[in-house]
Amino acid sequence: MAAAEFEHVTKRFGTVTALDDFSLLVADGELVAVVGPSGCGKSTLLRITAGLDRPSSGAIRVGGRRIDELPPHARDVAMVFQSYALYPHMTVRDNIEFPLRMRGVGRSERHAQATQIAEALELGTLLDRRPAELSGGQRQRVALARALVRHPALFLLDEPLSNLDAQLRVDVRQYIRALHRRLHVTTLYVTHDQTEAMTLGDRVAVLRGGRLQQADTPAAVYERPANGFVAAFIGTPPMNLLRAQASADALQIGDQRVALPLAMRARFGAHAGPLVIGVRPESFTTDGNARGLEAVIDPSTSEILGSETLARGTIGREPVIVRLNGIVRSLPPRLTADFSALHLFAADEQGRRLEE
Amino acid sequence: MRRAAAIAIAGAMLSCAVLLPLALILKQAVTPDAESFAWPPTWLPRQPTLDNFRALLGSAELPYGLRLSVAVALLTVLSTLTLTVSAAWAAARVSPVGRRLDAVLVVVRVFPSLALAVPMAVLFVRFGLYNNPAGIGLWIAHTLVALPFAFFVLRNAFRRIPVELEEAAQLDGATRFGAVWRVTLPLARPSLAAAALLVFLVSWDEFAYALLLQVTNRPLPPLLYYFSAFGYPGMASAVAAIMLVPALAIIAVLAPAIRAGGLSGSGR
Repeated sequence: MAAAEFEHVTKRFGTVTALDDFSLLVADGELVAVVGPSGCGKSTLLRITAGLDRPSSGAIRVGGRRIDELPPHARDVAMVFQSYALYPHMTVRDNIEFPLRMRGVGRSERHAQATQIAEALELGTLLDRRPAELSGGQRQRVALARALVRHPALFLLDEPLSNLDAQLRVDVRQYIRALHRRLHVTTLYVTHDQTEAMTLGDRVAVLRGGRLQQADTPAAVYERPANGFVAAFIGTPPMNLLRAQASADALQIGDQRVALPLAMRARFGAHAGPLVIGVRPESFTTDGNARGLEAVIDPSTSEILGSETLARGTIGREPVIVRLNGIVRSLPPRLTADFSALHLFAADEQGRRLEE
Repeated sequence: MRRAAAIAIAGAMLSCAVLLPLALILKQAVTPDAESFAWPPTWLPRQPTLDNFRALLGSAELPYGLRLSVAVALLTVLSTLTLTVSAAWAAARVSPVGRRLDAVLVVVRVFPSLALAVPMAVLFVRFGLYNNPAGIGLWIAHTLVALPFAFFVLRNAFRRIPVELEEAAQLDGATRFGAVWRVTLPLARPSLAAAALLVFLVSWDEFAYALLLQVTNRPLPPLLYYFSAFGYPGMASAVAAIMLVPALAIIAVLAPAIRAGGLSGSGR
């Protein structure tokens, strides 16, 4: 077990930069969930860490040892592939023992360790079967067992839940979480699903176009997204982003002018000019005391999901999605998001957060 | 019902097409030549005899030809598979390599074998491999002939094996070579067996190079040809019958391996 350190790792394929100056420190025993849309570089990051691809520049250290120039078998890094990649010609036991055999572990020791991890992963009765005779969830546990049996310094998971059906996915998610708590192995977990990233990660690293956008705890990523992309990527439904003009005493959103109360003038005045206002769907309330942006709700768009009710509306012609708790049968015509709940982002391409 | 009948009829016709020539060979092998030349021809020998076999086995040529043919075929299997396994793996895994090798191997197949056999004979004369009693020259020639067949069989087999299995093996601690040795090759076993069979039969049946490169130290196909061309249909058929035995034996050995295996279960 060890900390993993990425220092300015860059990978170019021809003219395409798949990973751009990626730096991150993954603490010993930490689980970092790397999340982003497809093509964001998360798979490249995993392959480079595993040694299946070489970085164009930069360094990777695990436990202080530089590994980016080593071949995969010398890295002490284990990986669970998206496709599981079980060896079909071997039994479950031989699959799990394979990494031990490659390290020259003796027969009885191999047997004992494989049995132990198989018991921990509830595979004890399946050891003599072949992968073809297992269900999808069982195959996945075999892949986990094979990767974990040798106690790697760094553990990589590539979209491990993507091949499972919805119910099993929730179960296995809990399972991986519990497993990580117990084994405390430094882990990079790659996924495109932000819910998975938020529920599993000690920290969440958001990638976009090969660049790291933000790496922070799930709560911090949600409460203080570093830029407009993270704001819109994390959360379901995503944060509403509204183009606006700020002046000393008012906000202009589309054709709507919102007068600022005295307490808010300094805050918005500091960023006078064009900016992007972010407001989470759940920030809208029916509370009459709230002072802020007022959304005009279209009641015909209401979606009652049980634990929550979603609806669409507009603020100065800019579309917004609002979310209310529980079942709301008759939506009020207007909902308000308090000024204090607003996020401020720059109006340029990067859209970085304007306040700390 | 109707479909079953159609399948049965088609099967019977196909069996006849395959088995009839075989039956005629076996019949002629145990028939005296005088009867073979008589008119009208007979379906079954009137005076069955083993004289043809006795004469062959008493000669020096048949035991020598049999040993030579078997040795060259087995060595060709060995050399061809050794050479093609690595080439086919590279072609399957590294796409530019694959495209280039395809072109080269197809070009070789475009020339008729006789057009290649003559310059090869000239070359072998210089190296003392022409008409070599151990068939070294013929072995080299057969390896070249069989190479493309084995290459295409194995390349397609390797392509079907997911590259993630090799990558997983490397992360599990195997070297690149170890990953191929322990994962890819075992999974390709059915195709390796099929390629071995194909190569054996290519060498076993090959005639043009055998005729030109082994002018007096003859393997079985040219020997058969000489008996047939010089008017001994009985002896020629007996050689053909004898040739069946090693071929059937190698099929019996390799068939179970060809049928076994499968890739299911590696993934989702």
